Amino acid sequence: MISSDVIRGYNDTFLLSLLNEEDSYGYALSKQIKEKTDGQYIIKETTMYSAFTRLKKNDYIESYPGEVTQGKRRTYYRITAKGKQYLKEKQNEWAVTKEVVDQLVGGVKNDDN
Amino acid sequence: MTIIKEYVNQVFKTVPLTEETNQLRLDIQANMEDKYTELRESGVSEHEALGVVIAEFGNIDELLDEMGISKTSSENKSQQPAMEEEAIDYFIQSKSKLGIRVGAGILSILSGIAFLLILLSVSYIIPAANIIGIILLLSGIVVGTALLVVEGMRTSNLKAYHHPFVLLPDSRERLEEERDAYKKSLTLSIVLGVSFCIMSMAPFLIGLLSAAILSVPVGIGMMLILAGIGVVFFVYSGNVYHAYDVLLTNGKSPENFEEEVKADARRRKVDYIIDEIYWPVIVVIYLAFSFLVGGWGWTWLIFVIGGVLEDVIKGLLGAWE
Repeated sequence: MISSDVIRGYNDTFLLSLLNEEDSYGYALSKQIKEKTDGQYIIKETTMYSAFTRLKKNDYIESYPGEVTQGKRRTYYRITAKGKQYLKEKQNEWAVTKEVVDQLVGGVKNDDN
Repeated sequence: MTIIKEYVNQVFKTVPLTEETNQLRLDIQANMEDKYTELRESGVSEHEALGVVIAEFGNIDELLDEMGISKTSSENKSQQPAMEEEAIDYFIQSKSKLGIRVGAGILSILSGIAFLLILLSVSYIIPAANIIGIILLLSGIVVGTALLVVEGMRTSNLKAYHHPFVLLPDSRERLEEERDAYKKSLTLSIVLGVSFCIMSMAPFLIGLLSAAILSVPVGIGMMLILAGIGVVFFVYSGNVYHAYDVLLTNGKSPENFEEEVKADARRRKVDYIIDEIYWPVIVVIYLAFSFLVGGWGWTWLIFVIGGVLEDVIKGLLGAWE
């Protein structure tokens, strides 16, 4: 499992990019993150809800009560136009970041050879 | 599952109850329960599943910081008592039990007296009737008194509900709906109660009119039992209805808690002035004036005027607030 320190700055972006596909709620999102990363990254409940709070404060997402399933009324989240724009910026930023980090840290290739 | 719920409740204990934090707690609890269920279904042991779910909860402080709920404000606010769904249901259930038991206590005492009266009047046929009657009287009084004393003591457990507490808008809505739904039962109970009390006069009157059908003591005995049944209806439905009123009056919204409590205190002060000063003064004026002028035939009108003025004063004070 990846240390959460390294990834902290990207939690908001993870959630935004998942919400960019469809509206969703807490557990479904954390499960998607776990499955997409083959269990290498698991987002903690409080980390996820901190991110929701932050995203809501910035108007990147909005929440609405979903239908009651199994006696539970879940809060659903939806990405806003502002959120989509922000996501695009973050995607571009990541492309650059990835290149920079790759060039400096080098990674697996150098060590193996 | 209950462990997850308890864990989340424990973590949220110091978090001030608002609509937002309550929904947050429910969402996190639902997520954890979903995760737990899936782990269990995939064959993970109960123990291990709980371990994973709780390990993946995280740190509540991280979340509270983000939400702008600082430690100090959470300490201040946690002094505001809050009543959640379970606490609300407990109060309503307690009050309905209390109603039944107090009603039963009164009925028991009245029945004791009634049995004695009935048995005394047949003592010329059954020799031991007097003794049985006295035994029934005593046991009726003992059982009844015990019920009343025990219930009286039990009400001290419910004191917290008679002081202001935080009530979430969702709960308030539910309570208002339930109270309105209960109004029908209340009306029915009052009608039944009144009917029993009126009917209770029948055996007594029959006894008075024709002692051949029913002797007067037997009539009185039957009257007491019927009236006792009527009382059970009143006490029970009254207690349940009162429970909703108490909850809705003392339950304050989390946002305006302080202001609402202050407004309550002001209102109580006005009521106090009206009850303790206003009306006694009116009574003194009535007596003094009536004696001096001797106009007993019309001086009572001061009470009618006083009643109208009371509403005006309360209205003015309310508007001034």
